[in-house]
Amino acid sequence: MTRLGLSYRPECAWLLHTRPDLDFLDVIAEGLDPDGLPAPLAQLVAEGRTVIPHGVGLSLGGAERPARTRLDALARLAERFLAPFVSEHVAFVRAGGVETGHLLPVERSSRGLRVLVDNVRRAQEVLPVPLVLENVACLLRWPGDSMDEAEFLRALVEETGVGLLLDVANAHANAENHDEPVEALLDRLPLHAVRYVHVAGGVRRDGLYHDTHAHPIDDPQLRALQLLTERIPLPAVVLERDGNFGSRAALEAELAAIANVVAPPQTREASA
Amino acid sequence: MSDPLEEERRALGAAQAALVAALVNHTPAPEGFDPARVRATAEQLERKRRGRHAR
Repeated sequence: MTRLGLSYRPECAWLLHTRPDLDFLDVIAEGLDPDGLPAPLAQLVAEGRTVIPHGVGLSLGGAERPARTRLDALARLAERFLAPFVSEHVAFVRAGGVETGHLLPVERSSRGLRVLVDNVRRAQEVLPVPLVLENVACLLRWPGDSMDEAEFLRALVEETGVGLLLDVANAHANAENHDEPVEALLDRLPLHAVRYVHVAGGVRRDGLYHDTHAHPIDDPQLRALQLLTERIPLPAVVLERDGNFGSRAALEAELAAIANVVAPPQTREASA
Repeated sequence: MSDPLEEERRALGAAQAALVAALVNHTPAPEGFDPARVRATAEQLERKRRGRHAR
């Protein structure tokens, strides 16, 4: 059975309280105090829902070693949530003393891989639970890339044992923007390592696909999710919405569309 | 203890810093990058910053 959930944001907490079936959640870790959680989030944890701390600031693909204070903060949240793992990204967010606030792609070269692997191992040493990393969407590529995304992620998983958070919208975005069918990526990724899945919306603008996470999900993202369900049983699927929250009906319709792909009505009846 | 990756970290850090400088200052893309894609990414960053301020 695939579990269904939502990325926790204060704007959509109300929906979670009326939908106990949405029992697999993640929440941006930065800025959260494990001893002073917002009341709605504390309640969801107390109800026993799975809540994954989702980091955006470790910059594991960066040239610097991950900061101990950031790792400790993630570790405390994982303990507070009794989370089965912690998630982060295959990306860097700062360099040369500049914070970009954006998940930038790692150079897929042997040096890029060696530094990332070392940073991931350092994180794994400190974290009390396994680490799971998300594929990011990127418009640009490094001139020094010597591996494609699937090869790079496979090497990362093999060398570190890290799990994957597969964002099918990001996979779709990269397929669109770098002119590769999404099937080619899914066929070659180490899908056995997938611990959960993100789905989010985006928009086409100036000839490029942008993963805004602020538009409703649509056929292409659902198709990518469908392709994934044909390949592996999915542990959990999370709808990630960062902004432009629509009406309750609109959000519920998106969740229903996801449920329809991961657990079509006939299989739900059969297992009932 | 010295980090065996020190040298690679330094080189990678310089390359990442050059890319980030181009993205935040809208200066020309470092050599080898597709200038149009660097510009598009810089615009993405700016939209994101504006979105955050608007909140």
